[in-house]
Amino acid sequence: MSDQNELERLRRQLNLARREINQGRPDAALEVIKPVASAIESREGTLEWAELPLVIGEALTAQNKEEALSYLQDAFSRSEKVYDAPIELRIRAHEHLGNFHRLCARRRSIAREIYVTAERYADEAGFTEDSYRLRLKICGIDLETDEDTNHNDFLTLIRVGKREGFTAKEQFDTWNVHLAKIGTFAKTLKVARKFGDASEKYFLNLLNSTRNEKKAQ
Amino acid sequence: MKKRRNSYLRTINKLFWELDEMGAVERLLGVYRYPGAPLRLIAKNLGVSDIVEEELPFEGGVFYEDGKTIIKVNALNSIVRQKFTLAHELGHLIFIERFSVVAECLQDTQLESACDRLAVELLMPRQETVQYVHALGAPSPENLRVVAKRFGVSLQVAARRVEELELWHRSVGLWEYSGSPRQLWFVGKRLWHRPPNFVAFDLAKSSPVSVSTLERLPSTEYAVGIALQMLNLGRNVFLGLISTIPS
Repeated sequence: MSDQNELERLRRQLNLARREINQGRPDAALEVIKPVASAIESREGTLEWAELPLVIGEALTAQNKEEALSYLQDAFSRSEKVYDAPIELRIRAHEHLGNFHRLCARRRSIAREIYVTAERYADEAGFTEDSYRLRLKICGIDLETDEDTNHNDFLTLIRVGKREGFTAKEQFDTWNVHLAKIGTFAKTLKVARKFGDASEKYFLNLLNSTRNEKKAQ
Repeated sequence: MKKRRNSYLRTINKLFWELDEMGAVERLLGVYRYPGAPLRLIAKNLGVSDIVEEELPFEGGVFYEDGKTIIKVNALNSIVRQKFTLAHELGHLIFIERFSVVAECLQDTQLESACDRLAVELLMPRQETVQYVHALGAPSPENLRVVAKRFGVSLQVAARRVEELELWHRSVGLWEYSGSPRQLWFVGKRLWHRPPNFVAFDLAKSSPVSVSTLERLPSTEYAVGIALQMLNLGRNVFLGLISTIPS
């Protein structure tokens, strides 16, 4: 098998592992990686070599395991070493390191700093969707840290948005529309029942109307 | 642990020199209503200019707009839920009018709970409920549905009211069942941590009326068995009345 073919095979395995992680099966992802790990390791300087610890780190983060950190840090340094590494790899390395600090290590302030850096990379590269996805994560951390009464609503919006296939930008825009509405209510609202407990139906309607308004503009 | 009494309800008790909480609430609301008075009329008497249905990120609220008092209820909710919210907001207005009590924040849980108490009395007045339920006959899931329909409330609110007025001496539960039960709500004494796989679920599945069974709980210190009446409400949702059979 030519080296190019072999590299393509390894790339396919890495993509398959990422798919497994995205579908909530980190165990399966690690199984996919295991047989090709040493072959990838021997190709120092390639994109696949930089991506290997990132995928393992992602899977371990999903399993809530502390070992994820060393893999993600490794991915971080490897992404700097690869010649002409795509910015996407750097964004992913940052984002997943942020995920680790937020979800496993529960260090929200560190996670926030890392997400901000990743968002800057995404903005500079013009990756709009990545940028909005990271903004949502930063927003979630801020609400959680502040114990904001809107945090529960935010989680509901993200849940519905993801499930119904809305983009991160649409979710972000909808959140701002929601905040504007709350602001308007606050001017005349004296008492409210179950404030901060908006329904999924409310956010689904708001997501749809925001999408339609943006289309109409 | 001793349950802390609601300070807002205690204020009502003090006002009427009434020890019984339900009696005090009944007397307070007597000022604002007559038997059969619709909520809209009570609202009007409390100075509400309009009741508006709107898609809201909360259940409902009282708004002051251009010198007018407006109650908004969430149009995304069912009619019975909207009605309960309206009654709850009237509770707030009564607290404001009678005791000058305004919520210090939007999540004053004690005030919210006190307004729920007022809402229940507004929707299911004690005397009327007692008379109606007694006249209805023996406890059954079907009769609980009749009670809920008669007063325009949810099954859960009806079950709670019947329980607190000690009318049926039954616990009531709502479950979703498709092979294994998932409890949606429960009113009364709990005898299990996880709802057991009652035989009644399977029997009720194919029955148009409620079925009665005697069942043994897996392990409990309270009773050796229970008597169940289970009704299939459709869409895999079951309403059950439970009484214990002491050993």
